[in-house]
Amino acid sequence: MSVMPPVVHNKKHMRIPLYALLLCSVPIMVHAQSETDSVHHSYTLSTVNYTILGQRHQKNYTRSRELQQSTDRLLERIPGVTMIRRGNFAMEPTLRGLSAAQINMTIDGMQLFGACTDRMDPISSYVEPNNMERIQLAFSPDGEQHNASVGGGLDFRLRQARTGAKTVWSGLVGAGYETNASATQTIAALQYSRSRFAISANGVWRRAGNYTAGKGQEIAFSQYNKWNLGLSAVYLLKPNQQLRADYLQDEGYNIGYPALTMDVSFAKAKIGSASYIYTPAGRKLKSWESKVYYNYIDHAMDDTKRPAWQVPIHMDMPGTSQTMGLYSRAKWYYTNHFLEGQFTAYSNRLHAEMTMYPKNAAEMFMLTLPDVQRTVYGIDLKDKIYLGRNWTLSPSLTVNYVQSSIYTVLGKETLSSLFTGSLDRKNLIWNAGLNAEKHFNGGWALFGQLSRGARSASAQELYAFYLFNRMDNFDYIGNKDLKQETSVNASLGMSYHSQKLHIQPQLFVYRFSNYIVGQRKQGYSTMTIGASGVKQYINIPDALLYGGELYVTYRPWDKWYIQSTNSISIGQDNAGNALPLIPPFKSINRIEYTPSKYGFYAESISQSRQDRVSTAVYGERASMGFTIFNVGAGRNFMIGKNTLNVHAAVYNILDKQYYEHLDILKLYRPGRNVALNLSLTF
Amino acid sequence: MRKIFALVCVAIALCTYTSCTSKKNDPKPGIETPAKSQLGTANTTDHTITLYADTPLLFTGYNKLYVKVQDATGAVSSTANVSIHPLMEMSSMSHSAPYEQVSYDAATGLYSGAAVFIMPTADDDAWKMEVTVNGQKVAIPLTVGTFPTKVISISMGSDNATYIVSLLRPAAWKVGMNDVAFTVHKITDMMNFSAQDNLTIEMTPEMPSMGHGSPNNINPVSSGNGHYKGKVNYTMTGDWRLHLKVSDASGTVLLQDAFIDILF
Repeated sequence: MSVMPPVVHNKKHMRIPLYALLLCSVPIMVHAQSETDSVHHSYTLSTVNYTILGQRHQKNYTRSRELQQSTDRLLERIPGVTMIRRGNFAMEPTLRGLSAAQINMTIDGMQLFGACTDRMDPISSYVEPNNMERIQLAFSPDGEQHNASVGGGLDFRLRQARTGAKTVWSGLVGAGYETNASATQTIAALQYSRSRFAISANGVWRRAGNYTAGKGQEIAFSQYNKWNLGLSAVYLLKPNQQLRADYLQDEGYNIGYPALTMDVSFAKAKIGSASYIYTPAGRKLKSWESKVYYNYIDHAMDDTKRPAWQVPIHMDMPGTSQTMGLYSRAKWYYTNHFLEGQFTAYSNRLHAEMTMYPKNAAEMFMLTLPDVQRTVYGIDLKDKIYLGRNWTLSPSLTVNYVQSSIYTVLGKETLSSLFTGSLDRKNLIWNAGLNAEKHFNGGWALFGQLSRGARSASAQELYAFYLFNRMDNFDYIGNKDLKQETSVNASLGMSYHSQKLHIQPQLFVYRFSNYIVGQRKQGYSTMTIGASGVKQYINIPDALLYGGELYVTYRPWDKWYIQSTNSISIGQDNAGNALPLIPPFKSINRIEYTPSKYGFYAESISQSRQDRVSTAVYGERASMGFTIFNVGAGRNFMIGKNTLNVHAAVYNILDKQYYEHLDILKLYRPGRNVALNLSLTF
Repeated sequence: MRKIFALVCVAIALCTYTSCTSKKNDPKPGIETPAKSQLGTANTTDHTITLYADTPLLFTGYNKLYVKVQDATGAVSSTANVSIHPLMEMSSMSHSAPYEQVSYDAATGLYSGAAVFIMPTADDDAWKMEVTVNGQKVAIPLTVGTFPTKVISISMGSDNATYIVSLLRPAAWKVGMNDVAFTVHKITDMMNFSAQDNLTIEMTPEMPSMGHGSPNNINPVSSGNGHYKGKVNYTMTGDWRLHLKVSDASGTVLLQDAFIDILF
């Protein structure tokens, strides 16, 4: 179930501006808004409301500045989302403490898989706010999710070209500068829109040097450079039939990962799709969308810039990931039912290798992810039943058939080091869920959710070949005999809503069976120089994850707005050990004052200390809590029909030395940072 | 205008897709493929004798050898009484090497055996193979080179005897699990070497340039005639050293570390 579902209905009074503004930052989004509006009414429960809210509370002072932010910065403000940080770039999202293969990350419904074996390139690093229309989030395997998982997922919906816009040409340009790391962002977007045809392009260029943590400590190897280009075209065959083509290319270069032993020389993604969408008006069938897609990710780790003492042996570690797939999705109404069905199929190939160049000896070559192919077929059925005016009930069912295999001889030979017998895996996986939502008089609502989720072990968990994990300093090997991980999860929440106040608490619990963790394997020598040992993925009988979120907004006076977002997760395994990478209590509190044309805000971000760690079992250390403060102000200037937006902010104004619990190696995050953003919308 | 836009769009998409071809990952090459090479030939009064090996060059260590015996008509003989004896003649002395006497193999029509050359051919030190057919002896000169890595270990055991441990080189190594075989001989005197069975060999692979090993190796066990067979696991290509700790049946360690070096 979602964070705060029923609120969606009251979107007029509610907003979470950061994400919401994505929607309305540019004029070309106008059409988009009306469409998401209808979508929103169709399935409120598991959509994250901030993806669709705020359309009418457009706050011009932030506006396109949000598009200049990195996706990471947007994600880490979402309650329940915490980022694993390995550097100043490409942070990895976790949902309530679930990460990697436990959650399902997609771009516009397309499956993508990072090519880096060290998790340096989560999918979110290949998509920019400037590409996106919204971020769709689900914490449970049902709802908005279309694939089997145990913990929900994130879908980054791409912004697409819109036909019939008010102006034929529209767009924006923007630039930003941040004093810390001398970071610059340059963005642009352009759309050409006619009644039957539209094409749009958007681009981002970012660069940053080393950042400085609190108290003036420079973090070496934290630089990055990247550009991103999104293209979208739509052609209306008929008013209710359209052909779409979308293409996204994202290339990063010379990216430092100070928390890891290697940096990245390049990380490149090419993501393309073509879709056919049929939206008959006034019929029971509401929409039918079919899409084919292909993406290719090319990633190369690099240690050539590190000082010699950090590099006992120079090595190259490139990896590739390619995925092709399709889905066909239909939605229709039937009496008081709103039904959705989807067929999906995709195939992903992962290859990762390592070549080491010792001094005075022969080079060494190995596969670290030995050419894994995974093919998935899935069927997804959902229903939303309207029982009277105040009751909705939403059952859902997902069935996936997952085939995993090794597609090269070298890959098979490599795994003969670890396994005997067939390397192929076949899993039949099913998810089922039921959501219920009840509204009462006086602004009260109750919502509950119960679901069963499952996932097959990931390619890494099945076939990893000595992948080094910096967090616990172990080399990891796969286990082809892993059982699928399953969860039964439930959540219960309520909300109260009035003119000035909105309160929404929610509790959740996930009980996992065959939870997959790394367990020390005796008698195996490490591949990585300096590693503490070798771990192999195993199923532990069960694990428990529970916690809650509290979301409060309050409008004491006109133009004043106070928002508080709080979340906590607690996880433990079957032996009572605390699970790793579980975020402690986090609270973001924000106050805004928005006289016309101006906007001001101040916020605090706090995280409590995390003592609930199992250093001996999972190699994780306790972390300190922190509080930091940010302030910002912005103003819009009208220049003819165009809008110039100026925004300034100071992050971490007290220059605090701090890190979050999920930060690998507990490197300090950036200290004081003054940011200035300009953008022009036309 | 619209159509042009559509075409451009499609063209861009196509160009980008076609540029996304994946890189081929060529496996590292092995050493050579087996094909018997002629080493030399000699005639007795009745027969023509030709000596073959698996590779054009002989190397220090274990080498399979094959003898073809043909009568005057050129027909291959399967009934001759054939034996071999390797001999190195040095300026002041001569010595032999461990060898496995030939026997007829109907499948190939050759008499096959093996020799463990304990040193390479040098300026004044020449190897020859004495082949005796039906009592008539001929000598075929051989050139033995040094294999690029240490595939033979000659060392003094704790019992003050000298042991020769030699790797049976496969045609090619591959990444992952490989069959591995060794021979162990004891030097009795310069002309006599005895195959050692029923020893215990503890094999520990290591990559010397990184210091790590590999899991799931199977120690070589005695299969008779001085041969030991096991499995070795190469987790990657590169330099490997197989440490061999050799003990006798009573558990006394004879050789603490008779190591063999591999490169592939």
